[in-house]
Amino acid sequence: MQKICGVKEVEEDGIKQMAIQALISMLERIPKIYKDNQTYLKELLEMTFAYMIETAEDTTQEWANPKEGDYLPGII
Amino acid sequence: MITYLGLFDYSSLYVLIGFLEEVVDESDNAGVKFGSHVIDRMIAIIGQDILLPMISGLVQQMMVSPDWRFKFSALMSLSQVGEYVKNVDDIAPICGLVLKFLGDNHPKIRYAACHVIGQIADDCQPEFQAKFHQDVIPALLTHLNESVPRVLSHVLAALTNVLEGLPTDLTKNYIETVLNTVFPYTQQGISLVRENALSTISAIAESARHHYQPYFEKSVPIIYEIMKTHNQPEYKQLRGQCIECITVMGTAVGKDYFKRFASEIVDLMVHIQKNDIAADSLDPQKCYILSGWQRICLILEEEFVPFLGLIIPSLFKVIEHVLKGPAEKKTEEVPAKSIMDLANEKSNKTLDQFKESEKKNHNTFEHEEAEIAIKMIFCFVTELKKHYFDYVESTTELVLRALNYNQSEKIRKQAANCLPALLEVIKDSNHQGKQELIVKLASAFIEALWTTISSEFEAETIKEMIEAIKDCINHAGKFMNSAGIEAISQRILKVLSESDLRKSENEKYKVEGECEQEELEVLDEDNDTEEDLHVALAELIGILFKTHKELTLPLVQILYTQVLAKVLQPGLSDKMHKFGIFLIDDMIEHLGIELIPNEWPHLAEALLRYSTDKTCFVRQASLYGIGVLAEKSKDVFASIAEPCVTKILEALKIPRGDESERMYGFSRDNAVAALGKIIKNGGAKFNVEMLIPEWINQLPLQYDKPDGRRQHEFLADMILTWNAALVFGPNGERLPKVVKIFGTIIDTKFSNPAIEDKISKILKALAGDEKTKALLEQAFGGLTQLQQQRLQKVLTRTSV
Repeated sequence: MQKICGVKEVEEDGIKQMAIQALISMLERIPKIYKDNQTYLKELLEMTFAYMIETAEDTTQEWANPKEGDYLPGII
Repeated sequence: MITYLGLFDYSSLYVLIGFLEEVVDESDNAGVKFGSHVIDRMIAIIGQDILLPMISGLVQQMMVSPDWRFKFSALMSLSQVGEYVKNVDDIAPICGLVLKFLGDNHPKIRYAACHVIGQIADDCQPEFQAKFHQDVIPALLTHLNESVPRVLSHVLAALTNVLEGLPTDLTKNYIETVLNTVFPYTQQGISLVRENALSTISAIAESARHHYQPYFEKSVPIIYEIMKTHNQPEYKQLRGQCIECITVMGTAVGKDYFKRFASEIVDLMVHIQKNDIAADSLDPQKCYILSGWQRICLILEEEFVPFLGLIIPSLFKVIEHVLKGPAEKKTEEVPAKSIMDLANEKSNKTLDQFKESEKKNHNTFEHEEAEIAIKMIFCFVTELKKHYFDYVESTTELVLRALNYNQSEKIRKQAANCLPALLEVIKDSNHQGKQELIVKLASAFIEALWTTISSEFEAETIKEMIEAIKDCINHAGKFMNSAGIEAISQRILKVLSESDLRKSENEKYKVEGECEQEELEVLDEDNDTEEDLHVALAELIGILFKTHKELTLPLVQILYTQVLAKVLQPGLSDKMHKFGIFLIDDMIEHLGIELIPNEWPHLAEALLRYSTDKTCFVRQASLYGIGVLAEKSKDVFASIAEPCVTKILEALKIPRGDESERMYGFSRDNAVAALGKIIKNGGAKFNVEMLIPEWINQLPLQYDKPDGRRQHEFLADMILTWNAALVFGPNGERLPKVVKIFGTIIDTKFSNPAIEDKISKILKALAGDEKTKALLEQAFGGLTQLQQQRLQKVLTRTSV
């Protein structure tokens, strides 16, 4: 999974998200693996942060100025 | 959840999903949102003690990066932390850090900083607000000069969240500044900014409560003007939020202020409802209007009645639209679709199939509207009581149809809720022959509810229907003959046995089904709900005992021989024990020992056994039963008085442990009240001198108000009419304690004018005697200022 997340070009297919999701599913089902080996936790966090950084999109005119009538809920 | 929103363009669905809490419309930040969600899950599963230090270390590294994306991602991840912080003081470093980024050069970083503040303010309210308001509110107000509209709307959203949790006494200092700064944004800029500005005004009004009164008159015309002038389709959300803002402000300031504008506001809302909203459209205004009506009704109370004629038809229309819709012909329920479901459907299905799924969600949306509309009717019915009488007939017809609507159990549950409330309207009215009408309708309602129950399979829904039947019987009183009681008893036992069957099937599946953890949790939750259903059935049976007395004796026999022995076995759950104890309490309370002469000694044994149970609610029910037994059995109680007293005193020594303070308090109050009832009813004359000091030592009651009033009045009566010397003890040693009890209860709901009149007589008698006067003065010295003031007030007043 780390290898998948480390490759730059694959995100178009959502593969990296799926890789992280697979690890999270494992964590949800067998948390003991991660609790017993906290290096895994740190690596999963690093992968997640790397994914967030990689997918963060810069400001666009559309984002900065939503058109009239566009509704976006508050912070919830 | 938000995680997969990036998989399809959901912008066309935003109105539909706008009211679902978990949806965050951030398609352009899908990756960051996904990451934040992952971090949230990790903390939830592994625990904050391990994860928070790790996150903190990584965030600190990211914050020093010159690349904006590092800071942005780090900040967004911090927004997940608030939910898991145990002590709000731990947020101080985050708060200081985040506030600095409100002035960053990059809009997305400013946006993320607002997001963190708003999220933590929501997760940690009101502690966050109390601790950081002086830093956070001025900072956000300063950044309202933001040049990027999207960020500006997020500054307002963060401010809204902070104000929503701000305690009233702190809010009052910010009203003027916030209104002066935020109101201009309701009238300028893009609609998103205006909507958020309106939310901020609503939040401050809600938190300020009556302190908003001086600003109300100036605020209303501004918002009213926005509603009137923004009538284009793209401003539906804005108009909806105007309705919310104006009615929230009305709730804050109260009837006297609101009614000056009521007529104008109602007219405009009716106009929007009639002319601007199509019944079958996904219009956000609908929900705002429905919630608005509820607020206005609660503000105006009976003065809302003149508007009913304008509002009821449109509410009925919303419900009618659903009941008459094509969905009614279907036989299977359409489950509500989550965004995740929609995302999967979109990615896996053809366009036609997706359109079909959108249609189903359209129905779900309409179901929600109809559900809210029935809730509104319930609100009107319960709030207006006899003033709603003219609408009872038409409402009954509609609600009974809704009870039978097979597409939404939420609608059926709401409809069930309304039925007993409608009986209460008739009961409260001046209608001639109202008792006959109540009985007639109650019979019809109960029959309709049983019919619906027969096709329900969710224990939670059945429970609500059972509660509605119980309330209907309670309103109607004794109206069934023995055949009727026999029929209802059979139905109760059938529901009970079906519930038992579902429970045992769940247990069997748990053992044989190789369930995963999640499935086991679901099965446990299901069984817990089944046990709640049992308790609801016990309460229904209790009402039958209360209203139909001896007619229920055949049912008593079945319960005694077939049910009680089974549910009171030691190994069963606490809720099953509570179910059994409830049945016993009600048998003794409503039938008395005369109707159950052979059974009551065995029932008393069960009460004794569970009166020292480790679980508060089981103990409370048993102790209550012992008190009732002392009242009902009187002379024969002497034979079991000693073990009862021993058990009560033992129960009083049980420490709170992990139980909630309230639950523990109620349990303790029931033990003290049971002691008082034993003393009062003379069942333990042999050791009354030992009991009275124990009882007085535990007074006053602090949670159970009705029992509290009875016990405190009994204390006063004992002094006035029975044996004052026994109460005060040798040399008046208990006089300070008794005076303290009185000083604590006066002017609270644990007292009433009759009790205070008796206290006044006692205090005057004590003050009038040289010997006791000194003791009284000495006792006053040990009281708080408030207790002294209360006693002085009673002492100086003239007896009624």
